[in-house]
Amino acid sequence: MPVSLLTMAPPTNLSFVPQKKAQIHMTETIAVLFIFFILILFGLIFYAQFQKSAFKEKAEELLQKRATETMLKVLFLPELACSERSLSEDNCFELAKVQAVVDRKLFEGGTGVPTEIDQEKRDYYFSIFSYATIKVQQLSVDAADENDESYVLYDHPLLKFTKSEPTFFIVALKEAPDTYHFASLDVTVYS
Amino acid sequence: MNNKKAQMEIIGLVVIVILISLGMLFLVQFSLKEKPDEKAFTRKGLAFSTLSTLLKTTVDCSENGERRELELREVLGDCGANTFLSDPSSGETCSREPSCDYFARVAGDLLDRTLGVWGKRYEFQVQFPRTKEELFDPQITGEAGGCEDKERDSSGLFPQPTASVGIIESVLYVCE
Repeated sequence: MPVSLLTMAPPTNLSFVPQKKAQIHMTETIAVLFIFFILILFGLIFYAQFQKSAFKEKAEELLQKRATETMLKVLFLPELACSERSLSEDNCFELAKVQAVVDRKLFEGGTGVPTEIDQEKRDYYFSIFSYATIKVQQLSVDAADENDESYVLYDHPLLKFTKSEPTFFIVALKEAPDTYHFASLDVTVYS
Repeated sequence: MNNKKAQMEIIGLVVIVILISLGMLFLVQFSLKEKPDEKAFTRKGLAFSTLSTLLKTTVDCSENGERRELELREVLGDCGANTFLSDPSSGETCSREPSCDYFARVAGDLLDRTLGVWGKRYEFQVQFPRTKEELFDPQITGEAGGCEDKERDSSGLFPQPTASVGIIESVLYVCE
């Protein structure tokens, strides 16, 4: 149908309004999503930091647990424990056994030229104690005497350790036949 | 209508923010929650072994050229017996020192050189179970003090008979 240019009405903005509305709506949605993802990102960053400190705490907890377990293993070692007529005594080491372990480096595979058996012994005790240092310190009754004796039973520290956890216990050191000395057991584990 | 829509969207945003904040609060609360003390078992075992070893420790009570080795348990028993003497200085001694003084000095010294050095506090109590009378007043405690108002672990009671005054009971408390 022919249209007269004179009578044609000027174009109004009403035909563009639905498009503008849609664009505004889209922009709003994008903004909401953007903010939402920013919030998620903050949440993830916070969670990562929290996990980092939780992981560190867990590692410390495991090291403490290992220290306690190693201590208990040492306390019940038959190579050190007091025994008389197949009866064992709790929290007691025989002085003669301790001295033998130190003199012969029993827990470290022996002295002298290492043999295959020595290597096996070293591996065996390493599988029990891992990286650790185990010491027994005999305390003299009179501090002024300065007669404290120290026995290093096992010394296998980790060369570049990041953390060490010392634990302490009290044991009786029995010197045959019936003399008991007051001693401390120091176990340090490394990671 | 448009205002209502905008308001609804803003409410939606606020709800999301509130939910995320609540979630973070729960996380923080969970991380700050106190974990059970896993060292309590080791501390209890330490108290028991310390007192058991202390009482078994052999000391040299020689005097006047006469060799005399006793366990600290026996010195403690002598101390108990001395308590009821009209003249305590006439009682049993160890290396010419009254048994109670000797025991308190040696026990305190040994415990300070171990528990004290390891940063632990302790209280050593000995009493007559029938009368609840304490043998040592003040109690034997560490240089850092005792365990008042602290969570403490007990060695358990160590009763021992004595020759003349019946049973005495010892107990060691260890705390951080």
